[in-house]
Amino acid sequence: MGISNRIATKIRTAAKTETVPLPRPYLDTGAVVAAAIVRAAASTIGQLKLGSSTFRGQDVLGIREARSTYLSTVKVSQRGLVGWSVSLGVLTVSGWTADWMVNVVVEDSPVGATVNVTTPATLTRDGTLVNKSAHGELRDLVLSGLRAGKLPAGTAELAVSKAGLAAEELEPFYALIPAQTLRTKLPVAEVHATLALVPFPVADRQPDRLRWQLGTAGALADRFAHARITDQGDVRTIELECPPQPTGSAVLDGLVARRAGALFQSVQRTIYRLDRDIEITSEPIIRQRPTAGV
Amino acid sequence: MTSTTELFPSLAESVLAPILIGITTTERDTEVIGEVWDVAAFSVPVTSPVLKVLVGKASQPLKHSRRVITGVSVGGDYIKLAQLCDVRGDEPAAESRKRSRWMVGVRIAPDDVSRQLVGPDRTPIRVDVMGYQLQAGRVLEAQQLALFRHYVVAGFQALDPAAVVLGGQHDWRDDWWSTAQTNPQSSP
Repeated sequence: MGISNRIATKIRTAAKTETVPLPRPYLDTGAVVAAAIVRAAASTIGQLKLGSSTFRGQDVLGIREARSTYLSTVKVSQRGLVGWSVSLGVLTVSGWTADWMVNVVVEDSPVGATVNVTTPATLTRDGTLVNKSAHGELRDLVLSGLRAGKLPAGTAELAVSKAGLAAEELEPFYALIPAQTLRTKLPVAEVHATLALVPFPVADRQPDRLRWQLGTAGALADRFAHARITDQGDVRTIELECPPQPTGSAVLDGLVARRAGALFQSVQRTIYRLDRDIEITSEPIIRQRPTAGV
Repeated sequence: MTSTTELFPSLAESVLAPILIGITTTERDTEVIGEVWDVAAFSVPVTSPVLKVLVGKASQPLKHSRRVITGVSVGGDYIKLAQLCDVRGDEPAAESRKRSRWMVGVRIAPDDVSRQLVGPDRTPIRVDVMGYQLQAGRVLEAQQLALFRHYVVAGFQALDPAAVVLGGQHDWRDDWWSTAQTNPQSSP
């Protein structure tokens, strides 16, 4: 029994190399198609309800294995523009433990693209590959997709994406919105020219004042931060502030605080590139933590 | 004439699909990309998952800081990388990167097709999701990923209102981030 299982596993995990009709030039379009095919295959496997065990070793009755079985995770990583690694397993306190890993490497040559599919890591029980159906399905989907050589439908990819956005996420850290003052020797005109490189939409620009929108969608579209620019003779001060407006939602307040912090950092970086002697002082505004989940 | 959808995935609702952005070419393209990237990374709110860690031979719960870490892709095809990592205390970034939930890379796409898609006098910038995890039929930490992608696109659009944006999801809805009452991590 064990020997025939081992032979079947060996056949199942044997390396496969074949020429595939990916669009050319490979780096222009072929790589985009290959990446989409791998995403589609991984998303299909990611929709299966599979279990992976953290237990390793002899377990005749299968009790220890069953007790240490968790929902499987599919882990995908891309290597440059030519390689992908798809692994099924579970994260443990000691790190990632894989049931199997499939590597997909596309080699481009003047005569066409060649794909090499290998299974460098396997976990077997009595000679049988653990979660072998998922392994076979992933390999088949990747190979059949690459043989077709065109963009896949994307149905599975959209499903896992939408399900991800519909899932509950953790509450963000509560963050303070600091008020900051920068002192620079740059002339006012140069301060304005430099601040034009801060990647936030400008809501209002005056000679002594600049107002940025913190976002372009959702609640952030109605939130602003501003800079007051004062010429004090030999130095210019830039006072940055984001007026606190607690919404009662920990997520929205977290979004605003991080976004304002990112804006202030960006202002500092852009000024610092031209004036290494910039002085920065921060005065955090402490406010009541909003009630979570409201 | 080949259509855009045949050349580039138009999965506008996929957080995994690549995004192609065309910005008006300037001498500061690389600097602009770096600034947009760092701003987007810092803009993603930090969460605090409790994960088990080994202390001696026993495992104990430990609060981590889940946040986006940026880095430079040394010798790779990408200019910059961003990873959502579970950071443990003051450990070096290299250690945190081993606990990555997703990874996104940005590159200037020099190929003819990308240039053709974004139009003349524009620099084609590709944003690729290079690493991700799927569990129970869903992308893990999709909210942070969607938000990061949204901020990247919003950053380029703020600097160049005429920027061309093609491909995957890059919008944002506040109701996508609803909070969990308990830790959803199923990891042992």
